[in-house]
Amino acid sequence: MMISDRTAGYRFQGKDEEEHFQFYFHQHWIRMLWPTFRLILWNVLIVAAGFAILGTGSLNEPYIRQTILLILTAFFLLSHFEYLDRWFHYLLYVIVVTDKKLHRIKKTLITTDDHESTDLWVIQDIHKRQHGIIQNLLGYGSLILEAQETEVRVHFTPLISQRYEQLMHLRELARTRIASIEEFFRQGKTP
Amino acid sequence: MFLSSGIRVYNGQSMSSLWIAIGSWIVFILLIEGTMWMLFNRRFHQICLPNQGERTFFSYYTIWRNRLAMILHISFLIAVIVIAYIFLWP
Repeated sequence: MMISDRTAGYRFQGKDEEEHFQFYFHQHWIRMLWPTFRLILWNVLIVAAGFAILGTGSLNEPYIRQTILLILTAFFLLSHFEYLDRWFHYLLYVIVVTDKKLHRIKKTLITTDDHESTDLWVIQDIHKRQHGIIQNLLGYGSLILEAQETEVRVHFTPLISQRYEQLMHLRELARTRIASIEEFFRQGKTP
Repeated sequence: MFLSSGIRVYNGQSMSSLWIAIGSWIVFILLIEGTMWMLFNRRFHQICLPNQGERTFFSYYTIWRNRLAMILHISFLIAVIVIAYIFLWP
């Protein structure tokens, strides 16, 4: 989504006063497919184990039943908390694009707080990579932004064709702006 | 203890230990999920609030809907534990 009245005033970590918000995106939802599958698998295994051990009525020793039930509950909750952590991790990885910069913000709940900013006008090449059937069917892939000495790789970019075009357009606007500023200073210094 | 019909009957001691176990798990769930939400909320507010949708699968995943999902998740966990313990606790 491009800049609108609703999004123009967006504030986020590291935003300069002169920057104008353009769009943001998280990674593609396919990133959460394996954690979701793993959560379901764990839950099925725990329910099956609980039914097999405790549901048949063959185990009647109260303390053993209690211990097994407590252990199964602990594993059940652990699988859910692990999934929740993964989900928050997913939501805390955001690419924010303004009219001047691309911000890659990556955080975890406690241990990580990364922020990487790249000026759009220094980006030389923008590559879009979509390999395989699934990437092409679901419309996601990797964006590779090459600057002079650095390379920014944004994997699992959703709606990649649209993002690619938006970035190309914004880079051209940023370059035009920088060129006009350079021209202004050049003319100002000329006697 | 089971009746011949298969219905479980609790004596006083078993009943109290059952509710102590359930109560402890509920407190544990609320504590962990509450802490995780608090940490997430603090981090997320520093970034950018998705008050408006992206045109992706998660377009409807705004912050208050995320909060609602957390409440539903907590309710689900508590319901599963209460039901499982009522049926399986000795």
